[in-house]
Amino acid sequence: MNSPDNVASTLVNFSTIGFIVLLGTATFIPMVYELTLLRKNESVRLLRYYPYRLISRLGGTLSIATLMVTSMLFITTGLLSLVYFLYNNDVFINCALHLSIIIVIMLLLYVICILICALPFQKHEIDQIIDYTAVSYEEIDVKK
Amino acid sequence: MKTEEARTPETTKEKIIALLQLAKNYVWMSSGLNSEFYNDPNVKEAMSDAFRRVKQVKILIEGNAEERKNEMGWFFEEAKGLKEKLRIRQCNRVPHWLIIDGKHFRLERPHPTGVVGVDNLVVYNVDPPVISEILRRKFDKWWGMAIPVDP
Repeated sequence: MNSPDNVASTLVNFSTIGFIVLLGTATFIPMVYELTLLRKNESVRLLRYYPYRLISRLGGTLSIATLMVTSMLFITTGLLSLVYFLYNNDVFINCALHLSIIIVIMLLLYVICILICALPFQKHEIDQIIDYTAVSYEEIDVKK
Repeated sequence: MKTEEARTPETTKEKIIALLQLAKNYVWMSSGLNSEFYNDPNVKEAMSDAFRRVKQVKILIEGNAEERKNEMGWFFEEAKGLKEKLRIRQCNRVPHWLIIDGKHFRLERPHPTGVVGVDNLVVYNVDPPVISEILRRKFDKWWGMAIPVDP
């Protein structure tokens, strides 16, 4: 039932889907993040809401780098599984299996970290920043 | 993230000096360069030290920079010596902010030109980083629209 061939083909599917999803997320999130930044006057105000705090954390450099690295690990897993079919050596399937376990643990930690990081909200401090930047700067004529 | 309000020129001075001492990479400043405030020996020393230490300095002067050259001679002399990294621009009207390494900020409520502002908010270690991104982009927008000044 759990022959190495079955495991290898499952890993190929798993890594292909994982690669597409993660790379897609890593390219899509910065776009959403940039779009929210275009609303300069409301951006700080939006931090009062959890979904925006989550997007701003997801769009951070470290977060995007993590997603990119994980998607590359997915590709490596898929490649190792494919190489197994070529050489029929169990070492490749073992490596792919271990790598996929590492990836899942990494993803789990990443999701937990991001969700927790987005939770704290220093209401008083953010309200003060909103208050001090409340002038409609877009209307200010900086040209001389 | 920690915030502190400064409501007198003296406390504002202390906070600005403390902020300048934290600078490691860059100093972005928009100011009316009020001589009464910036000619204070302690402020002068903190500014000079920070300008020499960091890699980039952007000074956005509110009003006519030429008019400030007499009152703020030391500053323009300093700018001449640090021409590589210190750039000055002027604009008509701009909020007075101080951005240190994109981490620490001084935000001032608008006040009439020529007087020392007394409503300041100092933000240390801004978090989440998106706040820094928003404020830096605002400053960058003003900077892009302002006119370069030759010290």
